[in-house]
Amino acid sequence: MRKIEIVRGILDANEATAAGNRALLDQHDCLAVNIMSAPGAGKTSFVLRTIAGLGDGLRLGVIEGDVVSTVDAEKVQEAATAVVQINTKGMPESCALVADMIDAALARMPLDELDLILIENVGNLICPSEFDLGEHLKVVIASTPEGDDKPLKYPLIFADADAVIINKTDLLPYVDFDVERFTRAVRDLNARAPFFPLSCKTGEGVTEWVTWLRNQRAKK
Amino acid sequence: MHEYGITESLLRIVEDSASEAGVTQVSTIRVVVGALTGFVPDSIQFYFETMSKNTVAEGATLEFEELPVKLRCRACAQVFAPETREWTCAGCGSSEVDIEGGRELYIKEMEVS
Repeated sequence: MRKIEIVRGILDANEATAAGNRALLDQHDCLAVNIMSAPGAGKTSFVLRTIAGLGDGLRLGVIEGDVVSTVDAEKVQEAATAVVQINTKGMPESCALVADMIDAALARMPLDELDLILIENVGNLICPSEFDLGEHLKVVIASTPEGDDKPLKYPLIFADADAVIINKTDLLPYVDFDVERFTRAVRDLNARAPFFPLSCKTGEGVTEWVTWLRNQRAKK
Repeated sequence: MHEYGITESLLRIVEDSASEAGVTQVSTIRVVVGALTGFVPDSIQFYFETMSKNTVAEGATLEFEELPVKLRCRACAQVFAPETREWTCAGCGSSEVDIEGGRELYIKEMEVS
């Protein structure tokens, strides 16, 4: 019996593919944004609001991750230049997008004609935080009915966020969501992410988010 | 549930390492899992038993070692392992921290014959 030291990361293969995706995106001067949240927090509405808010100035692509349906992709189809749907059902990973899926999606997109790609991850606050996709920015959405304790339960995803969206602010009068407590909990884990309280229903606050995103695109 | 893909990656690393070392039977695989990851050892074990059939790792024991959460206080730079979900610096009481450890997932070593 003898021992062999290995010390190799089990996610190394995913990280290598993600690095390849990032290089490909950079080569085509395309900014990719990974949008993550729990199911029902409003990712698709947020994508639609973001597309509408950005207007005609930027050429947009969307990658829709979903376990089975194409409902989200259909809604988005009319608004974006290029949409690719990934159904994760039957794939080894159904709880999150992984770098291989993005690699395959990018191959089907006209990257030279795109300035920005929004990636709608599978609704889940745990698994997506483990997989680098090759994106440039990670955006996490928390919605007010979910409660303000999400950062305490799912610290990794909030610690890694480049921006945090507080969606459904129109419901604040009706739910127990303390914005101050939520932002403090995120800030404890993450010194840099800006907060964007907004309502995808009324459109309130969307302009601030879109302006920030436009600046990130301009800085790239 | 993303343990299927994780187990597949794990097995590939084991097979590659075994082949590099010219080994034909792996008896134990030691995996290090950070406390903050969402990986479920039992689930990896479940997939492993099926997926390792007819490989050098068939019948091997998977051993998991959990690494604790490690935080660095942003105020005083002390690194500490929180004992509860209250992530407050034992040195200065600040709750502003950066996550330094707890997200690991790697194969440390294997025993072979």
